[in-house]
Amino acid sequence: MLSQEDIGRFRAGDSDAVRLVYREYGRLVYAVARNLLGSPQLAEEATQQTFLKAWRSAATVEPGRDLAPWLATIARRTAIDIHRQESRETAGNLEDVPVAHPAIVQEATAIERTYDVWQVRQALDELPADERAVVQLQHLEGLTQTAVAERLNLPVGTVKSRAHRAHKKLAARLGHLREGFD
Amino acid sequence: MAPHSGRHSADDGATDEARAQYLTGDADVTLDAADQAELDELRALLADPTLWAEPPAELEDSVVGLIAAEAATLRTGDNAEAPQADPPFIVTTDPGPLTAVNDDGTPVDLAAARERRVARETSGGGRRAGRRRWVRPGILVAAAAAVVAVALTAVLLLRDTSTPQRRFDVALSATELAPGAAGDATMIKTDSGWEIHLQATGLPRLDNGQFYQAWLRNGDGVLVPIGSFNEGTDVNLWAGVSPETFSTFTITKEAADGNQDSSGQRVMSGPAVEQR
Repeated sequence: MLSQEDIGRFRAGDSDAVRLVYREYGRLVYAVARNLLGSPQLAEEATQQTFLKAWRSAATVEPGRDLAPWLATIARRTAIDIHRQESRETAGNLEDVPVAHPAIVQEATAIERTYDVWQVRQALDELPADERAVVQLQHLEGLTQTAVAERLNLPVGTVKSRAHRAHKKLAARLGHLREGFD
Repeated sequence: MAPHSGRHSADDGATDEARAQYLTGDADVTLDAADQAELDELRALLADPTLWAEPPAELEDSVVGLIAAEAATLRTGDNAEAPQADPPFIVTTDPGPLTAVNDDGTPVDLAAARERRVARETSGGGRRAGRRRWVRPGILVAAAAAVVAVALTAVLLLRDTSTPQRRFDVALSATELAPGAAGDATMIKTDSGWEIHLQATGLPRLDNGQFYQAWLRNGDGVLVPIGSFNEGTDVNLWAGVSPETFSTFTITKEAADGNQDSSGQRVMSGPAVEQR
């Protein structure tokens, strides 16, 4: 958690403080941008713009307030702006799009998903590296626990206990997802 | 993920246990439909590669450099344009409309600031208007020559402005490999390519087969070498690619070992920002 002094230095453009804020939230901002935009290049651009916009408006942050929800909102808006810019050349007239088109009617769901991505990524980053690796192989690569054990050159029992510990932490940490940010 | 009553208490620890088993893939565990739907969404998220994506390492330097460059530009702008008597302000662009606020968060009175500036300009103009002019016949020839010189200068200036030079500035940030380094670079478009002047301090001299290599990188990670040097002060470099697309300037430590690829030992980097 950043101190108020850090945030004050961030606001003043202090490079060290900017680096601290980036190290605290950079991965989360990037994950949100990447989830919304897909492209690594656009996600990088969105991340840069998010931090620049955050720095420009840092004076509006209430003292003592967590930067996370504020940054997540800026990241989401920035990614959507970039997506609109990118799609402007190929998109047709908005009036040609059906009223029930998912891109138009699923705004609220998309906001919740942004917060879900942020919080799930944060929970994963908080896991110890060995537990995180097991979760990644199981879910991202779809490996069985036996296959994970072979990949990591570990006994199956070790993989099972790490997987159980990790998933229990995730279940507890993410049990309140729908309540959103504080 | 369905609505949930909140963070689990010690009483529903068993629920966390069951939820963990479901997440692990235990088919025998029984959950209510809402829990199951929520965990299915969580599993879908965990299987999404974008959730696991790591930002490139150099993005941190790019973000830091971008903000440092913006801060430097604002400071320069303040010195050049903002009257000393006017309160400092920060322009906020997001979220919400463009506004100007004082350091304490109160809105800047732009009308009053404008009036103060107009008043200063008016009083300055008055001093100029009141200045007495006394021209002796003996200096008329010199005055005529001066008029010609001014006219020629104006013609040359107009010709220059018809083809404005594009310029990018780079505020370089040091990495952990060169913690004491600092510097900047200017990149000017010429007919031959982009002429780059680098001024870096805090980089220890490298020689005896070791040297610094400067690069421009585009969004796809393609690196273009733009020159090598031993010391970072007053270095002239040239690039045949535009900083508009190859917008990240980096400096690496290299060895003359026959390998033309980057060593990956970045000592400084920063984004190229166009000056208008």
